[in-house]
Amino acid sequence: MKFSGLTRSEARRIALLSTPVLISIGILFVSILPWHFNAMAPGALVPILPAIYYWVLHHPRAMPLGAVFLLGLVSDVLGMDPLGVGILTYLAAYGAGALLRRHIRDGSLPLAYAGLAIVAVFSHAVGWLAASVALGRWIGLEPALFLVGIDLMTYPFMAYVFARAQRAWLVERRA
Amino acid sequence: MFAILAGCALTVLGRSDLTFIRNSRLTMLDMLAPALTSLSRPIETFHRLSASVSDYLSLRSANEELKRENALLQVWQKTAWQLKQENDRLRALAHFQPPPQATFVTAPVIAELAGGYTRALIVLAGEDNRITPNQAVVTERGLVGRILDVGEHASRALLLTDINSHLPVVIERSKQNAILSGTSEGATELTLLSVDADVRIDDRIVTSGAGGAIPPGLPVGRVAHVEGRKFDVALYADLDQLDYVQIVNYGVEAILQDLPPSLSLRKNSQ
Repeated sequence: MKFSGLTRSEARRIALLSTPVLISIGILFVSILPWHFNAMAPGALVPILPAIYYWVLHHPRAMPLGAVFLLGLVSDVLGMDPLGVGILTYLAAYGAGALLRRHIRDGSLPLAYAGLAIVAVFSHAVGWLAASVALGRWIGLEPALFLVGIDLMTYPFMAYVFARAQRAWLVERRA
Repeated sequence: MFAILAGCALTVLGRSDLTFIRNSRLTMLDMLAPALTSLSRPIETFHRLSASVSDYLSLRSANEELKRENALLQVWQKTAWQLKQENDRLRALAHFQPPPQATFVTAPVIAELAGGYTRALIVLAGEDNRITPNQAVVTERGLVGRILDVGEHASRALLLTDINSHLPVVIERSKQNAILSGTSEGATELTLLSVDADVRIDDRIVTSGAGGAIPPGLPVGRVAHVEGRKFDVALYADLDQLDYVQIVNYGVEAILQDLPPSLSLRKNSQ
């Protein structure tokens, strides 16, 4: 069966490939709802970076560079950070994750966790630098450190959910 | 490499506050407003339910507290009434011209934008409700922030705790002017105070009205911690529990509303 020039299996494949990006955009929107997490200042639960890291590590085609740029742009345009900060943070995560991929892809969870720590520290350092440029002055390191903490805290849960999704996806492909 | 360059370019361009960037933010705000409103409703219901349960559990102690407060307020009511009478007499003697009355728009909070470096809210009120940039955003306890961007149906409000927030305030006791600034830790502190500034713990901080957009005398917070020349301020408004806020119009609109009908520009233009 064909619709809009695509076979059903091609459409399904595209839908499956775009799922991680769509889930990440979904997480972004859900995280800005008024949950009253402001007490956790500075910053809130916006675990996009762990999502990028997971997919770059395990299935880079599901999280292409363009999608990472888009996620950063959506986050910045929404007003969550000064313009460009989200983009550069997520691009740094993508780049660092891609560099580490070879070494930790088939490793244990602690190794993947250590990789995330490196990626998060590097990416949020880039984000902090970009925010300082955007705001025109050096800002405290607390927000960046807090965001690293959030990423490390949320990764096990995110990795579990994404691993389940990926397994279901592989079963689907084999069928 | 192109993506990185584009990101760097946007970071630099973002500082210039370009119209197309502002417009794309406003368009996105308006596009998302209906979805955010629908999604935030169940969360609001949940907050209300949990607050009801909490209120029910503390009914007895709350009742005793209210009785004590009521006795105290009755004393204050008598004092306030005497002062009002006296004030009215003095105003009549001095032919005092009262300041324009502020108008309020109450709006639900539909999103909390708390990234790493920004602390803002999206409220469901925009141009349709005559909201304009720089209007004060308050709760019944005190000032929360100011309106930054206004879309057709929704607006973005910058919280006082945002690192970009700088508000002219006055220390009520000593009448000294200062600037209340947001910090990177999501707190607030007094800056630009004179060297010999007299600041004490528990001093009340109110808006000074400098700049014109935000009316003077709005309660902001109290000095919570003094360490050398660092003065931390605890806000009266609870920024963690913002379901609804009020947006204060104290500008031209309010002045026009106060004009006698014969001079009202709005009436003439209709």
